[in-house]
Amino acid sequence: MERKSRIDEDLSSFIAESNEIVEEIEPHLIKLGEGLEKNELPDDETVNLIFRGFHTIKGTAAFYQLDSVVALAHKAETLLEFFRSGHETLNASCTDVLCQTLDVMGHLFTLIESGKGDDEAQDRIRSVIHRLNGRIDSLRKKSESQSCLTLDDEASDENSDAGPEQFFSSQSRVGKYMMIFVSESRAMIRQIMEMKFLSMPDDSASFRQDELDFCSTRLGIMADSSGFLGLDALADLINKALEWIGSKDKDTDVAHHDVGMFSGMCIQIMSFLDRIEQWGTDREGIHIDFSDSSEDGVKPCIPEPVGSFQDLNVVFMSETIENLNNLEKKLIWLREERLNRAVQGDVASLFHQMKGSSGLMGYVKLETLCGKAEAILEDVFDELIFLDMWDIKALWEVSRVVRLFVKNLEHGTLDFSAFDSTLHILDQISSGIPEEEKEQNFILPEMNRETAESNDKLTDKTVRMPADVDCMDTVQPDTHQPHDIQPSVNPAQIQEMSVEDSIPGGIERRKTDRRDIRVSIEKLDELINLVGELVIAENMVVKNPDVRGLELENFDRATAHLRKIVRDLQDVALAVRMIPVSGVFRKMIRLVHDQSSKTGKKVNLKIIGDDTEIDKTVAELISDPLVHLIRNAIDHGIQKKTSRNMNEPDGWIVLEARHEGGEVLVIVKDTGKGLDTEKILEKAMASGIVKREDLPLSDRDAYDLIFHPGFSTCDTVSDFSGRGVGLDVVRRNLDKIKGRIDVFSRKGRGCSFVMRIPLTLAIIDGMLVRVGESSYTIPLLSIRETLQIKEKQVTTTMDGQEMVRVRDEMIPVIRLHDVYGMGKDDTEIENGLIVVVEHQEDVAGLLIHDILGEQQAVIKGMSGYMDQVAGISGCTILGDGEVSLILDVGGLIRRSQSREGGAVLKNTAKVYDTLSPAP
Amino acid sequence: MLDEHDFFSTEFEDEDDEDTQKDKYLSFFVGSEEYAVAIRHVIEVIGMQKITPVPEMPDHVKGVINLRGQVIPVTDVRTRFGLEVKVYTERTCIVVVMVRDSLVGLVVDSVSDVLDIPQERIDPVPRVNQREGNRYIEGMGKVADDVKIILDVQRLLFDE
Repeated sequence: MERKSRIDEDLSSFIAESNEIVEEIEPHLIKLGEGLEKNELPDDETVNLIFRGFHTIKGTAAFYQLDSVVALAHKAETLLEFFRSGHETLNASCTDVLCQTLDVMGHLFTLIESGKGDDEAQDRIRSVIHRLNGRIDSLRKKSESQSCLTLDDEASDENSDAGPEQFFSSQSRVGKYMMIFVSESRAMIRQIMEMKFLSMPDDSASFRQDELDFCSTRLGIMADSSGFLGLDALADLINKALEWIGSKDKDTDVAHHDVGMFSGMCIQIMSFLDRIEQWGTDREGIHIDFSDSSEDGVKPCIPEPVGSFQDLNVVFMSETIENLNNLEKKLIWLREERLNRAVQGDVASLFHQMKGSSGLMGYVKLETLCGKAEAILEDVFDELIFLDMWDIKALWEVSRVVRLFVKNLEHGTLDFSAFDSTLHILDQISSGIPEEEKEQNFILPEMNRETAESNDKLTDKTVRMPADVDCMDTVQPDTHQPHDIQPSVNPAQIQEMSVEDSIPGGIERRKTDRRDIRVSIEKLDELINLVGELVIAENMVVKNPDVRGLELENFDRATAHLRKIVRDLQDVALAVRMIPVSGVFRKMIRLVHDQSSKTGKKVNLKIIGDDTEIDKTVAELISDPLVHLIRNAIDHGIQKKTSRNMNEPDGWIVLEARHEGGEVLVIVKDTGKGLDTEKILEKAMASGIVKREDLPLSDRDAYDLIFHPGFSTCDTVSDFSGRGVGLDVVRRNLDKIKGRIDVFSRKGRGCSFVMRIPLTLAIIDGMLVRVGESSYTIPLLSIRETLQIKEKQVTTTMDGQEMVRVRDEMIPVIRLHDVYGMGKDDTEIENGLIVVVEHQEDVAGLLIHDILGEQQAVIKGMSGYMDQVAGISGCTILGDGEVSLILDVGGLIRRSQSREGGAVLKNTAKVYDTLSPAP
Repeated sequence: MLDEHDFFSTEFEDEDDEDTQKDKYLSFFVGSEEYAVAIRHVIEVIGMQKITPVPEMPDHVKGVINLRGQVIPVTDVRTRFGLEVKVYTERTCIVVVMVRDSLVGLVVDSVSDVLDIPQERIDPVPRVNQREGNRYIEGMGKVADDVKIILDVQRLLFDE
């Protein structure tokens, strides 16, 4: 049961991730397609990005055995491969097919997530795969004929005495394969490293067969291709890893050290890949040289230390020295705890690393030496031999010899002289000569402080060895009492250091790749609530009656500090839940692209304010309404121009988001024909929604009709719209998140839909005011000014509406205590204050009794138990723990409009006049 | 031997454990009568605190309070039953209940006890007096010589 649910969890996180990938690569794909239409050359980086996206999906999907997803991703990859390898240039039809692939994948993910099989989508999958195949085939044919051509070219070039240019061109082809290999392998290794048993060895008691299978197939592929590319050292390493995997099955216990060794291998493979990439790009020639030499088995190949090779050598030296430093630390530790398998594994992998890099540099002797050392440790691992002090000392000797070698190398000389004797010692150990004989036969060279000190000079990075390293020498091989020696380095300390030092590549890589983690919203909400509590608790301490009135200098200083930290914490906690709206907007790019190509209208999309942050749940819910609105705009709003410049668009759609008060505004504007009020009314009367006696309707009411379910002014139903469902859906969805939608339009000049969505969780700056005995928070953004007015500024209309004259403007007064029936504190306008608030184009003056202060308010939604209160958008908790209601200025104005007969909005018409059509 | 698992299951999971909450009721006074609500609805009992009034609510909804960072509405049971308004005293309590996934506070005169009332000791509502308040009653619980009026929280809060 438990395990099943864990898999489910994994699966759903896989789907979430894949969906993210799909969302991420889609806009790139469209941009690519659009660029191609304008005959721009595709950007390699973008193609690679898309390729990687598909590849990642493929890899993980394979792990979950989602065959259809794998098949799709694989085909898409194959298609992209043509463009990546530079054989072909992309064309727009290919990007279209790839877009479809993404669609089908998205569909599949939804099906999988809902627990259904992929059967439903089989038809779509088949058709897309078919189309992909079509493209691939045609490209393949084309490239085959082309490659024949290039081959011919090459042949003729060779005949005509190949110059350096030819050499490089063929090299760079190999280089390209190399790059593909590197990026693919890197992805595979990363997947492997994310396996459960690697990431949390302590948690799972055994391997999972599926994970093992996954690893071994991946490694198999990599081993084959690296062998093919002549990367023997890498192939070797991969084969080792394969062996390791092969030796495990699901019943094998996961031992920490063992897994550590495997992850060490993985990290090594990674660093190999880095190296290949680094050299493959700008120094292909050299790289090829090396692989050739190792392929041919050219023994002690000592390349000339010239030019770029010198650079490599420097890299090699600094790397090796780093490895040696780690190795020595480990050896000291190992001497202390000979049976510690984790340390044994670390030492082995360090030797392995050195073996690999020396192999790559062509220092065969060094390679053999390190290989031998590694072999000894492997024997120890397999429990063929028991690691004794003698062995450790021999290993120490190896490290010394290597250090000497590197030191000589730094001076430009190659000196393998010390190697033979050391090799001999190692050979003896592995062949299992009894202890006593060892002593008689060899005298190990002393490892003294001088060497250690000279090591320090080698490089700044060298960690100074503890002085009592020398005690290494004093240990007699026959005294097996490690406790006699008290190394000054605390093993725990070493461990700490080594965790940081030993695998810098691995850790850093992860950091840059995964900058975010998934956290459930519930946890975040809990965090935010706790922070809110903290703020209140802080206030309770600071404003505690016990300390009131006391002169406490230190206390005040401390509380000021506390206050600052709590404020920062609050800001951070709240920001965590907010995500930029760009994710939702990005999807619309695709929609506009599709829609405009299908309708044959050329529509440009302009996105404004996509970094506006909104609550995650809100972001998810506005996606659907946006889709409908944009479809409508393109289908009905924007008209095809009869005569136009080819580059001039038929119309624009502007997608904008911004904060206003406690709300997020999401605006969809178009430069289409606008709403036709007459036609709307005609239709509405024909369908009986509006009766003749209701006429005349204001524009606003008329626009409202278009949200009526089933209402459409369209005579024909197109593929996308015209059934009158869309806007109904929009309104319903907005109702769900307590948002609303306003329409502004002018015939012939376009139309704009303004969605106002309350932030369920956000901070606003608010002014805290007192009305009677209650306090309310007015969003600071909607406040224009605060006035104290005189009696003579007030005019009362015959229906009792008071108007205040401020400069040359007549502002209607809303008496808050009347509206909320809060009893009458002081009804004289002169004694109160007027807060002039504005909402869109509407202005009103709120009569309040006092201003209590300004504060950052954390908006909390009203409980579902209470129906939505008109004029209240939510509430917030004040510093003293009291609840204050946040006024919804727009709602308040609307409310007083309806109650007082529209006195507030004398200038409604102005709203529509000032609506400027989209750019 | 009591192993760890048993220990945890009895100690920490009993909030969700239907069995341990079965037949348990929290009783409280409103006016002279003692009422009870099933304990599975009850989240906690807190003392009276400042209620922020919310406009345009039915009379019995007194407003909202801050329950550790969560804003929850508060209903006065007294007003809900149509009893005369009484000034809140230090014995006045707010019983926080969870109904339909939302928290609501019930203002009661005082909380008295947690009772065990087995199902067979609960009688249906007598049909004699079909007055307003009766529709909130789930049954009459007989405890020793006393009778507690068991309330249907759902109806108490959501019925119009």
